[in-house]
Amino acid sequence: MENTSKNSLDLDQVTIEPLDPKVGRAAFCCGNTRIDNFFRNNAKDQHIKHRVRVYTAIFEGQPIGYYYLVAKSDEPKKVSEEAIEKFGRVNSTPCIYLGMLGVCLQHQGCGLGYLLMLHAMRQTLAVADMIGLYALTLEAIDEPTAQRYERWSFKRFESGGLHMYIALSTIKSLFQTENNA
Amino acid sequence: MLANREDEMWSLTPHAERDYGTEVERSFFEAIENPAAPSQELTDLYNRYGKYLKK
Repeated sequence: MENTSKNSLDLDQVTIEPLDPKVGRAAFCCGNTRIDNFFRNNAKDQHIKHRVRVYTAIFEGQPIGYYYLVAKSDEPKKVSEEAIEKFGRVNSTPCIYLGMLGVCLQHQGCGLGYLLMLHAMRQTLAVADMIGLYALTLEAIDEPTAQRYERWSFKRFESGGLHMYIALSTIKSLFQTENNA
Repeated sequence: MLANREDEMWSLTPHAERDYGTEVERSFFEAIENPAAPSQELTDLYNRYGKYLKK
């Protein structure tokens, strides 16, 4: 994995922590309006109410990246229209959904997005220690991103679709290398 | 084996013997029950950036 950044960021100085409602969010800009607006306008309220859990990357007291996790049962109709009848037997496939991963423009290309993704995977494992689940899921923002996620062991629910998942056991295997080291 | 509140017998049926209705369903559970090892690229990612995950 190449770090092609023109910017520099000492990731050792970055902490990833649950959203502090007091931290300023108005200046956050990752370049994607939807991701920016969620963080600026909705993240605090949703986090406080535990509807999602927002994790922020903090550098020098400022949020420079974030993502959120939410428990999600994928309904058949959201996976595939064709799957409704049969998938109905498995009315819920408990998963963790990763939403809105964003890194501010100034620090893009420094590896922070990778770090946030690994953090999300680790949090998913922590949840799985308490509550059974199948996978970490997400919606890739576009096709190139989906292809990148495929290279990271994510699979598509449907060929050509952007709704993806990575099996919990795959994540577990990844982090076991740490525990076995 | 999968936990399934709606259909216990289906859950207890081994993956290979289940009657999957769609390719989406089959491939999802196949991936869950026979998970692939992390790809080399994901492993490289972890080896490079995992050290920055604070305990």
